[in-house]
Amino acid sequence: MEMNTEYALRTCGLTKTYRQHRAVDNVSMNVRKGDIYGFIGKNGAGKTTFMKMVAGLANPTQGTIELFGKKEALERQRSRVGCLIEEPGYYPYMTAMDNLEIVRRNLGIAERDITHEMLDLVKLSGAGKKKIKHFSMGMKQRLGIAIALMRNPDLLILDEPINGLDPSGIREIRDLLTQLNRERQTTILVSSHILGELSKIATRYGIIREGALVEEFDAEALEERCRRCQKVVVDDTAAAAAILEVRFGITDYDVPDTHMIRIFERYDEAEEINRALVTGGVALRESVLAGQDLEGYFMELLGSTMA
Amino acid sequence: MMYNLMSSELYKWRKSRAFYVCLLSALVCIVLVWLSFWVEDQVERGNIENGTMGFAVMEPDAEGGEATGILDDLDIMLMIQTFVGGGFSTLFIALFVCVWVVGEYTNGAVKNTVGKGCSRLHVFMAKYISSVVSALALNLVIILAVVLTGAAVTGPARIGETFWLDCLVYAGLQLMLGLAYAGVIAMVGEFTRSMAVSIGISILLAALSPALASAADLIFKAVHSDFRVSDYWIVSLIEHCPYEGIDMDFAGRAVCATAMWMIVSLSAGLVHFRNADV
Repeated sequence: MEMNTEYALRTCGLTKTYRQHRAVDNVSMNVRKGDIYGFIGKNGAGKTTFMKMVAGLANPTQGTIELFGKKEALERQRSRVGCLIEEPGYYPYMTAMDNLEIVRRNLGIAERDITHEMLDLVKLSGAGKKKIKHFSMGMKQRLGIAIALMRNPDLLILDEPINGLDPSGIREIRDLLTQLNRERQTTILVSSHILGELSKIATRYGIIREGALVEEFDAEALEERCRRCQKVVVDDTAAAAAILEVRFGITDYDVPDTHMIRIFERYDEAEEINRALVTGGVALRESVLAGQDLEGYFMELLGSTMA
Repeated sequence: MMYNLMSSELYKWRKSRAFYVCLLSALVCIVLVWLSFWVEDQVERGNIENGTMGFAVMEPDAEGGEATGILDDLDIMLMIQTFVGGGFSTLFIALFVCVWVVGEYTNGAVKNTVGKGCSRLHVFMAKYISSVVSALALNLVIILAVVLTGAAVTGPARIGETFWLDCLVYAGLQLMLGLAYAGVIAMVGEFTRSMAVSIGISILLAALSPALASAADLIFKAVHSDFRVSDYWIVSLIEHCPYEGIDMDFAGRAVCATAMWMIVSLSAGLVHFRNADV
């Protein structure tokens, strides 16, 4: 860990137990300032419960939360947090403008025009005077995002923010999030089942399974893991590497463990490579073309289907 | 922060359909009751034919001599007591406060406040204060409506010398007791967080709790104790509040019970709100 790394969110051993069931199990997460942290897990894995604890909507059973470097006075730190968790909260018999006005007053924001600005930001300007009970699901979701963005939060916690949005809406929200991250250095903790969309914006990932955080890695590491390659399992990786370099001029390879080599180039010549290794005296135990798309990689990691 | 939250509560109150529906419904009921008494009175006096507007008086006064009507025997103070102490205003207060408090949970609006760093203490206090103040306003309008409609129907001559003083004292006590009652209902709303359940419990509280309190009194009496639950239960006090000749003992108990039930309901509701997930 770099000494000067600043974290927007850190949790240590965060746990939430409902009677006998551990919904969140000892999660220690680190979200750096400026990260777009993709939070991935199956339904019921504990993502929403975790996010609720961070946002102050649920009390942890155990563990600590640190927001912007502080463990104390979290309520004060949460004034820098915006969240949209589960479904957006609203008063159905009031208009979109009224709902935003209520949030504006709660937060003590002096500028009255901010309600109009927020509606413009999420492309709901024409629906300001419409009652929420007449909104579609996508419109409610946009309103929820607008509410989360009030007062320019430093940390945004979004639980499935693109639910109910059409493709153009999804793109707009994606562009908005990347713009906020780029221009305002807003840190974003976002969960989604649409892995393709998440992979377009996330800089870091956390995988949660049955309440426990099983892995955390950066986007670069993910790309590395998903790269297409020829995996060969041999008895002598040094001899095999020498053959690859001398016979084929292959330099783009790595040795992830003592018996495996991953070859990232010329894997269309797999047959010749295999033959060269065998005739060169290397015992070839396995040779397979590997590499996955992101969804395939996550599926494998999570162990079964997402739904 | 408290100022911001109260400003928001005021804004919500102004836009609250539930408040205006409860208010209007109560006013319509009051006017209809007085109107029905007026029509009956006119029938009894022979000024209107029996059966007019669907009102049929079973035994109208006999013809000849000076006819009397029901309004001669009807006292405005008695009507205030009937409406306010008889369960009418407590019903509307219960309905509104349940909708007001539980409405924060029905569609998750409370997340927008708690999740933005607003202190749970302040959030609940703002909701509690707005609940009891709204109940006060509702109760006040009901009392004023009964007085004004009654005075219009019975005539200013029926208002005696001590009426305004008695009315002021009675209304003051009922408004004070109403604050505590609204606080208890707000607590019920917070604990249940369900519209149907909170309304059901609140109506049961209003309708049955005085009888249960009386039953508890009998139990205490059976064990040779002078303690009476109904002397301190808020709904019993609302029901038994006399509209004339109010003594210091009753007034003292009313003040103590109001303070006690407001403290209990505020504390219990706050503890629940702080510890429960939103």
